[in-house]
Amino acid sequence: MTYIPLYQLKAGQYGIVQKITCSKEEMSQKKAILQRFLDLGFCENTPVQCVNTGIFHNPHAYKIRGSVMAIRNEDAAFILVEPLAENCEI
Amino acid sequence: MMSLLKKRKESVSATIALAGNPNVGKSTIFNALTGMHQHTGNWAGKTVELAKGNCTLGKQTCTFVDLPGCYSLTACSKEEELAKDFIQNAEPDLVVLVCDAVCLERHLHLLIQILSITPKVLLCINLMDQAKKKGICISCSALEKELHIPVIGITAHKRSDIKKLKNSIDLALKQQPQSPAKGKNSCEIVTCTLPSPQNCAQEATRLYHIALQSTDIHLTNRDLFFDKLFTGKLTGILCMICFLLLIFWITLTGANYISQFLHDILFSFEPIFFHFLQQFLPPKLCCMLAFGFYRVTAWVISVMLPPMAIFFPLFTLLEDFGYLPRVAFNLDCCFAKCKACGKQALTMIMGFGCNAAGVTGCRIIDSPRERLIAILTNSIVPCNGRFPILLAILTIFFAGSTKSLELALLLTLVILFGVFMTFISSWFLSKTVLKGVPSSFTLELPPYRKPQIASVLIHSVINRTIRVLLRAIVAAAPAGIIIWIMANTTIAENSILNLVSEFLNPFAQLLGLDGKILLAFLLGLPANEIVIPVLIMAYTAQSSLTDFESLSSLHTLLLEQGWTLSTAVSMLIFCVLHWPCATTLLTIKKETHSLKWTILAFLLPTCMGFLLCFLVTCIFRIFL
Repeated sequence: MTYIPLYQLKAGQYGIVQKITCSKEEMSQKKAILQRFLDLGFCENTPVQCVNTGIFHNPHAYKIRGSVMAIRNEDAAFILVEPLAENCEI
Repeated sequence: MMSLLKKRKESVSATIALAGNPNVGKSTIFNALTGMHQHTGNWAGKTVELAKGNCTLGKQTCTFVDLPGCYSLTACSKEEELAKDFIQNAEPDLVVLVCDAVCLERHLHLLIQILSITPKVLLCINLMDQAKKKGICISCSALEKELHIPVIGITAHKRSDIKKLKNSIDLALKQQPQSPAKGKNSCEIVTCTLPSPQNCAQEATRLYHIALQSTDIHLTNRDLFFDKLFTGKLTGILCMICFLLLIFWITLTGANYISQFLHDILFSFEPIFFHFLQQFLPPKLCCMLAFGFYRVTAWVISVMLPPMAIFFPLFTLLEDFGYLPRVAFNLDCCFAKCKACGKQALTMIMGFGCNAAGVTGCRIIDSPRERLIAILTNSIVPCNGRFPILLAILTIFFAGSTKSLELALLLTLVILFGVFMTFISSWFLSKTVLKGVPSSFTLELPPYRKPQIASVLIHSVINRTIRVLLRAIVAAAPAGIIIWIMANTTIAENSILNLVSEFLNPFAQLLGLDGKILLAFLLGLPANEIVIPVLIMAYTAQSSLTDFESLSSLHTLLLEQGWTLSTAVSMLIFCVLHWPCATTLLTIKKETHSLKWTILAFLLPTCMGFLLCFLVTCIFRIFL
């Protein structure tokens, strides 16, 4: 199964968080947001659903652990998910 | 922190901290417990400061501290640092962790972190009623058994539940002597450092499944419908404009009647007040008090109070409903283009109520660069105090009549102009003084909640309106006296007022204004509300007109003073784009700790206003 960045989930589609990755160069800048992702519960094997799309396809809103969070695509790219079939529900 | 510690030991028997994720109703519970009136709203980051209040539990008085919301104790933002500091260093006797029953799993994450610092925790699960509606059933006793800390489920708006909470807090405080040992047993992760997020998450999930009895979590149809409506491609933007229009329309329609009523009453008192004073005071002083102090103050009350008393509650209702984060969601792409933070939309909207509040609200933005942009550009959206100026000009020169809908439409356009200028200046700042890449952030979109209409009405009218009004009056009274003295003191047969306005005139003419308008704006520095009354005072100081019954008499006065369409347009622009009021400047100084940024905050809108007014005036002079 291939993993895709979180923002490629379509509206309504579910995915399973696999890992949070970040290149070394970006690490220092992005440390805070990666920590925030972990705090919000973007941990391995957590189901996540894309629930809403912004006016210009950015940001997207995701449902994770019962709450809805809007994340810009540039940041959502750090989260890799395993997409589920589009009509599949959890 | 030390002083706080000492104080506690002296006066009160227990300090209790209210902690929790953003937007779980900490402030609501705080208000209910202490009888205070912290602002509440349905969006993350409403509370950014520590608030303290007292409450009597049984025989002892406890101090409650309302901590700003935080997602975790691994500090990445100012608020999280503040919350962590307090829990760790101030050693509260009890931490009441407030959780949202609807998304308990995420909130348990914080519980595990707090338990690793202190065992003195009471878990308070709020919004049980909403969870029930969504088919989530949570067992407090199961959690209590597992965690060995008191767990209680409440709905903060119910009075009986608050009583229940008080009892449990009282009980928890009493039981504490034995609890430390128990607390240590209960939690296998008691360490001096915070457990890793992965562990936290796993533990939170484990606890959540223990607590959960039955579940059927789905976004309800109602939430989905509202989200489609408010964040849809076309409907989203349409809804924003419609809401703006609707709020203004209701405000204007209602305010018209009350304004007229107040005006009639207050001004019928003026001669009585004058005659009354005449009995005790020298005539000169009487004139000053009656026509300087009283008249300006009466104007401010009759013009300011009604729109505020209607606008604030409407605005708070929208805030309670949970609409504001959706606006931020919609506008984020625009802010991203300006390399600013999407949360700036929230602070900008707060600026409609009061710019000073908007500046304080900027703390929700984590990145220092983006926070500065938000602070510096906040005063570009006109606050409530500037609406009367806009309204008066719009009514006289553009609407042609006092039809509320037409006026509301025009006002909306002016506001949109302000929003547009916010984008432009944010973009300009991030290209020049505040260069940098956009930072990352997450924006929580809370579920829609039914606003607590009654409590909103009472609180916003009594607290906000009266407070802002008092501030305006405090500013209006001295300004009225100053302008009266200026108009009535003569140096070489020319009043000071004339001399000053003559001095300002050449420059003001370049901007399409006149010296007296500029003077009125200068005197309006303490509070923008007084600009129009001061202007009228300045104009009428020499003219025969002394009373204003309606805007039509104001129209005559302004035309008499040589106002044209160009003056009106310049006035509108200058009203939106000029220096922030003194309160806002002081708040900016407090928030940025820097005189440099405060001066920039003063200069940025002012220069933009000068430039635009100059351009518009040139265009008018060339083409018309």
